[in-house]
Amino acid sequence: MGKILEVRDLVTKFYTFDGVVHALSGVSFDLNEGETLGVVGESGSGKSVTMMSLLHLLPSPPARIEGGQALYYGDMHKSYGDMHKSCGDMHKSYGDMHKSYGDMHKSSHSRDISSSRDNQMLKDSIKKPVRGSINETLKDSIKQPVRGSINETLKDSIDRPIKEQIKDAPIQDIKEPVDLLKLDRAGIRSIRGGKIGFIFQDALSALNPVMIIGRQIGENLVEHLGMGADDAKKRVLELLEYVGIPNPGRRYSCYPHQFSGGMRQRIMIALAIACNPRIIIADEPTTALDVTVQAQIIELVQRLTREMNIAVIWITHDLGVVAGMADRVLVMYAGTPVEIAPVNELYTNPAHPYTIKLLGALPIIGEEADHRLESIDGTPPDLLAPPVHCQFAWRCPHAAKRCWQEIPEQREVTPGHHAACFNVA
Amino acid sequence: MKRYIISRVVQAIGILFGVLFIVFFMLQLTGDPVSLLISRHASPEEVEALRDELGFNRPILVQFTSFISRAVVGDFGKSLRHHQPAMDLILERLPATMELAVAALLISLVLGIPLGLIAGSNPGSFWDVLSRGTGLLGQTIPNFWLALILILVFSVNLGWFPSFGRETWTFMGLTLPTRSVFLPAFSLSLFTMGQLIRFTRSAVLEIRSEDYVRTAYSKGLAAHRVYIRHILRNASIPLISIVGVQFGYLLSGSIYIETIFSWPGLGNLLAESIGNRDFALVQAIAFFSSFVVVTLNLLTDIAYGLADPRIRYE
Repeated sequence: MGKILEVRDLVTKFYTFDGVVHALSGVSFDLNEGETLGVVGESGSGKSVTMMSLLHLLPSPPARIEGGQALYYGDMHKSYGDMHKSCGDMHKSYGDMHKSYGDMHKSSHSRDISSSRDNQMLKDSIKKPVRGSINETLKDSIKQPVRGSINETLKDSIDRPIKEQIKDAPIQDIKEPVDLLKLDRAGIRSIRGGKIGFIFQDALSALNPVMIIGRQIGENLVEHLGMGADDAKKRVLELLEYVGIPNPGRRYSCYPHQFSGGMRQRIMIALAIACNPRIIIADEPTTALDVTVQAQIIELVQRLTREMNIAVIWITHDLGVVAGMADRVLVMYAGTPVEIAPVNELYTNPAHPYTIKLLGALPIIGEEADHRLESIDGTPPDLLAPPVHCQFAWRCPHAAKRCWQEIPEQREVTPGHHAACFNVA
Repeated sequence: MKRYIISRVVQAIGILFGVLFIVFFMLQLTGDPVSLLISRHASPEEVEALRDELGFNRPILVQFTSFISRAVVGDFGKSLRHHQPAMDLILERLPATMELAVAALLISLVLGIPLGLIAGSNPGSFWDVLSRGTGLLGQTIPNFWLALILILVFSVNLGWFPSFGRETWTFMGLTLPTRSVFLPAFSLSLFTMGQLIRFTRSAVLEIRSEDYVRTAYSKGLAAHRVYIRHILRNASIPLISIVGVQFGYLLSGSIYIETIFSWPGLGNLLAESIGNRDFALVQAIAFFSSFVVVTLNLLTDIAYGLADPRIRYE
């Protein structure tokens, strides 16, 4: 599984009238292709600020990114080139399958991975560098239409117009990783929406109230892929269908306020995936939704990662959601990452005292009614004057002398599991 | 949308009846209307004869219904001074006022909106300070004073524009304005311009930090696209109401400006008829002005509905 994003020592500060807010003091993490990274932490821990910094979306002034790197490897892993031509031919023969759209989203639960026979057939028909890794094969099978697999066909039909155009995009030739933080305006614009999609928390306020949703999604396509109005509309209808908006033809010209909360969030998602991004950053996308709808949205996003091989950064307060959907989890506290681990490892073997406390604060179904939930004493540090020792020392039951003198580095707990704590052996 | 328009129209009609009511009783409140209409030296018999002739000795409700029934077809009686139907006099003066109002509105739009936009997009910059200063001056300088200064500078000293009167030229059967409209229109536009600058600025400032603008940027749109498609369209909604209301006032004529520039419009006619105690004419102008304002408010409401889909469907 290749790395797609590598963030190192990201430092963002806000220059306010009250002083300098050290919003992020050295955030580092990796994101692998197609994985879901859950980012948890309390309000003000820098979850959103990290992601917004990557895309230069913070208002400046007051925000200033003062250090670090954010290497985007998205364009390096592509071996598309001539692959697409052969795909193109194949798409034609599957054209008639598109007709069966209507009921496709119903089958969104099924996790159809194509059979090995189909894979073999595809491999043969596609001139691609065979690396033999399972991941590659999987990727291909996901990109290709496979007879009989409804999801694959859908995926393909969604993909097709984009991919055909993507190969003409100039950025395709970049073989070096791109440092997002160093990009100029035009550079970051080609990343925003094109390579990295954003899903915001409150879709009602995040969608323009006076523009029909079809155009809001289509704007993306016109901007990044240079589509004409008709092509864009066609593609938007496909996207709406894909994310499960019933009757897209009619809903295309509706305004955001005419949709329910769940539907609006689906529109946000359609908007984020419109240009086939490699990464989606979802900033608490389910916070404003009720639990049933929450589950639907999570399912939808999981489908995206699976079918479109999109990596997802899922920012949330909700440890339950993360447990259910993330591959790895990054725990943030006071503008620093305190722990990063595969999801099971984090829940079974948390290393950082903050993570341990957080998990202790979770209610457990079936526990006795008089069981008191743990709370974490104290408050996060004042980011106007952050401490030069461990940020968590004040609230930490195990704080030793050293914790009051130095800032802990990330230490390896087990392979892939790191925590910023001196107590980790 | 249909229901929305119908409900607005019904409201507008209700308001106009209210205006008629006020216009009618306005005359009653001034005391005995006949004493206003007749020479102080008239004999009681003559007064009684006129009262009888004008119907003022009938019960007040009867008078009111007869006033209303004539007023709804635009008959406000004859002007005492001009001996012509009041409504004809108004319609005769209307083109001049319209010319002035449209010119003033155009000037305020052309200057006010761009200045407000620049200010709102670059808060704290030199342009922001300049625009806010202009906006403040526009709203605080009395326009009659400015008119006199303009005349002094541009007519008397520089001789670029005529100092009074309305000149037109006819081209292919159309009556077109000449530069004579410029000074009065500019003086008149100042207040509206100031308001537009300030409202545009604050609308842009507010909308710039909306979530959907961030979404627009997150799509990778170029800044000018974000401005045109996402910020301006939303900022235009509050501006519609200002433009509508201001245009209503402009169209009902400005007494000061039209008097200073001897502009043959409604404002001038109103000033004249008040001086002449020409009550039928004053009533007619008062009603006409209200009619214009109410109509424009109605159009504004409809435009509002068109611009903001959230209003449309309520």
